[in-house]
Amino acid sequence: MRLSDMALGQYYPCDSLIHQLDPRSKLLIVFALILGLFFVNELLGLAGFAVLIVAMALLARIPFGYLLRSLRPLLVVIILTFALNALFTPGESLFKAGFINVTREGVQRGTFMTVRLALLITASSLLTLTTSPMALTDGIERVLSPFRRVGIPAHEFAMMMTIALRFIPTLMEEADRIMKAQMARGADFESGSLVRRAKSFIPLLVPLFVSAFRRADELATAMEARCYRGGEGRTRLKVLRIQAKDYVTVSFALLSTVALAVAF
Amino acid sequence: MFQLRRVARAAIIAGIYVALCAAFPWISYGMIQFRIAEALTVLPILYVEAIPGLFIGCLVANIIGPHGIWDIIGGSLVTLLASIVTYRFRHSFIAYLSPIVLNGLLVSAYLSLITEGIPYYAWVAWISIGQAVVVFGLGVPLIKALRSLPRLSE
Repeated sequence: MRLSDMALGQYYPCDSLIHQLDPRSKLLIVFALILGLFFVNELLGLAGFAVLIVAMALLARIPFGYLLRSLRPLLVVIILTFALNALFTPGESLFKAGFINVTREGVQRGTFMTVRLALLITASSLLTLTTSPMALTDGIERVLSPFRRVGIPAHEFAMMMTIALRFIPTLMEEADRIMKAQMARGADFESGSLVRRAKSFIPLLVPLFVSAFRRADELATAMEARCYRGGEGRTRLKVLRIQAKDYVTVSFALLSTVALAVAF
Repeated sequence: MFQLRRVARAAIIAGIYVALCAAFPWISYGMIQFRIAEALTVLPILYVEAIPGLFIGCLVANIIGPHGIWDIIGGSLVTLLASIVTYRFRHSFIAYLSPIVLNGLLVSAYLSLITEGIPYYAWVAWISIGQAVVVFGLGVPLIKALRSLPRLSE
C-alpha cells in the first residue's frame, strides 16, 4: 500500500446547499444539535433529531452509507454501551441466566443511550463530511479572530493549520520512503511485544524529524523572502460571507432543535 | 526571522503528527489506541514550538478522524494542556507523565460522558495503557535520539 494514495479525511466533495453554507454556520448548527441531544429525555425526541439529521444529509446529497460508515470505528463502544446498560440497570427481569440479568428498564435505557450516541456521532460527522479541512480552518480563524484582543493568535493559528494541511501528503510520502529504506536495511515494524514494536518506529521517526525540520527552515526562509509579516493587511482568495441561505438554514436548524429539546 | 522559523516548525510538527495518524489509522483511531503520533507529546521537552504544533496536529488529526466534534475540541485541548505541563516540567520526570496522566484522566471524562454506561475507570485504564506504551516505548528513546543530534537542538 502506498501511504500517499490514501484518501485524507472524510470530506465528501459535492455542490449541495449544505456544502455551500459558510463553515461558521455549520459549526453553529452542529453545536446546537449536540447540545440539543443532551436535553432530550425521550426516545421520540431522539427520533425527531434523527429525522433532522437525515434530512440534512439528504440536502447535502451524502450517500447514506457514508453517514453510517462514520459509526463503524465506534461499533465496539456502541455495542458495549448497550450491553452494560441492559445488564446493570435494576428493574423488571426479562431474561435471566446465572448472573446475567437483562431488565426491561435496562433495555430501554440501553436503546436510548445507543441511539443518542449514534446520533451524536453522525451529527458531528455531518460537519466533516460537508466541509473541507481548508474551509474549516478558515471558519475557525474567523470564529477566533474576535479573541485576538485577549491574546489568542488567530491568524498564526490558522496559518499553522494551513501549512500543516499542505505538508501532510509530503510528510506521508516521506514517511513511506523512509520506512521502505529502513526495511531494505532489515528494520522490522511488525513483530515483537508492544513496547518493542513501539521502539521499532525510532528508525522512522528520527530521520523523518531531521528532514521535516530542514523543510520547515526552508519554508521559513521562503516566506521571509516573500515578505510575509503575519496577519495584518493580508487579503484572501476566497472571502467568507454569510449569505441569505446561511440565515435560513441556521434559523431553521436552531428552531427545530429548540423545539425538540423543549418538547421532549 | 526567528519567530517565523518557529511558526514553520510548529506547523511541520503538526504535519508529522497528522501524517503519523493517517499513516497508521488502525492504531490511531480505534478505541484501544496506540497512537504512534502521541510519542511526539514529549517534544516540548526540547522545543517550545512543539506546544502549538501538537495542539494543531491533534486538532487536524481529529478533524480527519471519525470521532467528530468531541475529539476535535476535547482531545486537542487536553493535548495542549499536557504539552504545556510537559514544557513547564521539562527537566523532571513529570514531563513524561503529563501526556499519560492528563489524557488518561481527561479524555476518559468526556468519553464516559457520551457513552454513559462504560465506567469512567475502564476508559482511564484503556487510555493510560495505550499512552504509556507509546510514550515510554517510543517517546523516551525519541528524545534521547534527538538530543544527540546537535544541529537540531539550537
